[in-house]
Amino acid sequence: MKQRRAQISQAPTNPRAAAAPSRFDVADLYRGPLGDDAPAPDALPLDEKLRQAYFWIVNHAIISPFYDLEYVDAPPTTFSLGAQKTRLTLPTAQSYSSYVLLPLLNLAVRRRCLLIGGPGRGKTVIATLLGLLAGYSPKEMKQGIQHGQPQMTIADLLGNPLPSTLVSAKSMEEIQIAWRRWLGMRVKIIDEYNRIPTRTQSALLTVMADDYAELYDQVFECPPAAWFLTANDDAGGGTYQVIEALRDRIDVVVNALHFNTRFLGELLDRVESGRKPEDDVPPEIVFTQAELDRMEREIRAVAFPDALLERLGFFAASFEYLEQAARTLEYQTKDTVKVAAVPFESLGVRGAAEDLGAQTFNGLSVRALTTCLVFAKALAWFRGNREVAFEDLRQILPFVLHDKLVQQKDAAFFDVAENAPFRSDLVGWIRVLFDLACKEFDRLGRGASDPVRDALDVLAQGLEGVDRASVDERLAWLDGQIREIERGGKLYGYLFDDVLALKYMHQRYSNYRAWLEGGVTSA
Amino acid sequence: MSGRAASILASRRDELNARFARKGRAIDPSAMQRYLARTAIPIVDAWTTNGADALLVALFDLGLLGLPSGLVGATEPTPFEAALVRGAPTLGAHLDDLPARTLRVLGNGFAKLARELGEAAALRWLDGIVAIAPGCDGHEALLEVGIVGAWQAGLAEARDVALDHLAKLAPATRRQLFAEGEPSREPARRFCRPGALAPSLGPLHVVAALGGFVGFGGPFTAPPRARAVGDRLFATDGVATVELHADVHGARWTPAAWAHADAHAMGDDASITTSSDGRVAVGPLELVDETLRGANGAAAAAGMVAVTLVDSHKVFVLGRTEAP
Repeated sequence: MKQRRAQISQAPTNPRAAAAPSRFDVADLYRGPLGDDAPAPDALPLDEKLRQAYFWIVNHAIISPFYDLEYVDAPPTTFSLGAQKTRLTLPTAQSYSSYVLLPLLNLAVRRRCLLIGGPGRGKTVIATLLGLLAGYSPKEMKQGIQHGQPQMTIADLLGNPLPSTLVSAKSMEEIQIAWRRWLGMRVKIIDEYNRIPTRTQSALLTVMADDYAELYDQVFECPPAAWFLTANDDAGGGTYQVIEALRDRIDVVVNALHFNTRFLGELLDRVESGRKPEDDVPPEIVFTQAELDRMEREIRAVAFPDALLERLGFFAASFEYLEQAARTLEYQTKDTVKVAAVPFESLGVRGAAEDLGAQTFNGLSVRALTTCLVFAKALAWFRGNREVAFEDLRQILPFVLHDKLVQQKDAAFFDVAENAPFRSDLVGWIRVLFDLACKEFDRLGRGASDPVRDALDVLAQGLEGVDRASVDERLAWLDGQIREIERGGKLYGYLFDDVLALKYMHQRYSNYRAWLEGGVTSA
Repeated sequence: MSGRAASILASRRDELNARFARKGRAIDPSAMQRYLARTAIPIVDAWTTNGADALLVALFDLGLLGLPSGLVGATEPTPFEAALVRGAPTLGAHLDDLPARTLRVLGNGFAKLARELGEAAALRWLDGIVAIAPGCDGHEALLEVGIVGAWQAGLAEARDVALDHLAKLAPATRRQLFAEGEPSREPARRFCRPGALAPSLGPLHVVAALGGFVGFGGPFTAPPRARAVGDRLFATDGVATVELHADVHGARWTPAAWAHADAHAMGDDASITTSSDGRVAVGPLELVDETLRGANGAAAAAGMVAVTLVDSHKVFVLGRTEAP
């Protein structure tokens, strides 16, 4: 296991990336049975350094012999195992353990990662290791971890007013606060966050969402930080129900997988050596603050191809539309039902087995989509690419949308015997959702021809100099497109967004035509 | 046992034993002892500088990692070990400064080349790098020499990167690597001998046959077709796509799934004419070769022409060497 290595490569299903991979990766020559080697750390590109950190963790720190982020660069060997004929694929390209890689990417993009799993699965260990990789000492990390417990107060979490100033202060501004040190750290760890009382959770929410803490009218501005939260219970239960706003702030969810007993020997090694992984973090893979900042900038600069964005948009459009929610088209969304507190079940929406939209209680928020884009870029960057590939997006989505797409377990889709396990396997379910959406995207030929997209592009070029005849022509075309959708009968999520986009364009052109005719309405 | 290694082993006994207990669970202790006796100890005993201590630890680790992978022999010395014992004095400063890292790159490089090109090529590479090591100013230069050496040994896909690294090396080192003169970066002269002076190129000829049927270790299940994507050359049978690399130092194919969609969607290159009697015409150049009988298509890129046959899983690479 320790020597398992493979080349970084792109999957065969990837749309063509603009930049072809290098002909030869120098690192390949010097990778092998004796472990990795690389030029001096200061000469290392940051993605290479992060990959080294990943391999150090999986080889020496966390026993996680799982490769659930699978990449292939040649037809892989597959097997059908067990009564359910579960498909096992042997990846042909460098593949990764989500349990290690996702937290590492979270460190790089400074977002919020929830680690879920039973006690003793190493959730806190990996979070602590990432703190060490960010340059903190073991002692600082021990001091910095916030351990959720039922008696945790806001003061426990944020700090206390200094008693002397509390007594002498003539106004709130004069009260000095002894802020807890963890608030200033670039890696923040909240252990067992679902054991924190609800009121304290609200204070935590402010820190997590808005990067500041407030006590007695005093404000502490927190630096950008990577957050790691742990919980034993996927449902967010624990001692206290986690407030929805807090759950919603979590960007990526990673499951701690079981311990493979075939690796008990390695565990024995640890016991016998008497050392913890935290004691042996190589200095070469510790990032400076400047490097962490640069890493985040480099990831943001990774290109996201238009074709892939279209595909993501098509997938996301599948979930929000709900015809039964309203009589006005704009309000025919699941959000309308939720805001009105109407039980979703009362609408009797189970959908057909192939209906993606019927499988969720909600659509994807802007925050969720933003997180998808950020983490897809991070994964592509980690793999040494400067453009997101199809497989990067496909691999990352389940972890980003894990807590974002709320599954409707009564949907007809899950009545199909082979789909029933997806009620509990959220990662597998979301991957299947994306695959099905892509299949439909390809069947409709949206990648090759998308008239609505073309029309939006034409409009984006501006209306200056467009004459009346052209406007009339475009308006007629818009009418025709909506008429065609009308003739098709059933409205799907992607058509819902198309219709609204067509209506938007119609309004822009109508206003412009009115202006051309001497009216006062702005286009 | 006496000598320098013996005293280091004695002074670090507990530490090394703990190291073995931690990392050497799968290793037969007697195999480790034999390796130390025939390889590590002679090298350290002959060491004259202060770095002997760190060198012995690095050699110890080499045994721990090399024995399970076969890089180090359980009973007999492997060619790698023999070359290491032979070359250690020449590696001098590199083993003194960064013993663990130097041994790692040499070991990994040897293992990679032995797997890709065979043990003889790997041994030539190791001997070559050892010979040039004294002239390398620092570890980075040694790595660069290793890349260029790997290309010279036949790792054809390393060509562009090797040429980049070659340019960074000191002139004296470059001369050691290419005694007859430096290789040309010009794609059209990729099959010319480094330093070849003749400006004109000879006729097209078959320089390599790549690919092959999947049952015989090749990548293809059906006769492939050649395709050029950008300035790179590929062959695809619709299921697997490989990139073709060839030059004066060797010819190889590597998996190229990333180019599969493009290669699969493309048609034949209309500017190249092939006919079933083995005739290939690329612009004014023409070649008739019995080997190419059954030719059904071709593609050209970066000074290479790839020709496929109707009934073969091989791809034939054509190129031009310097004019006689």
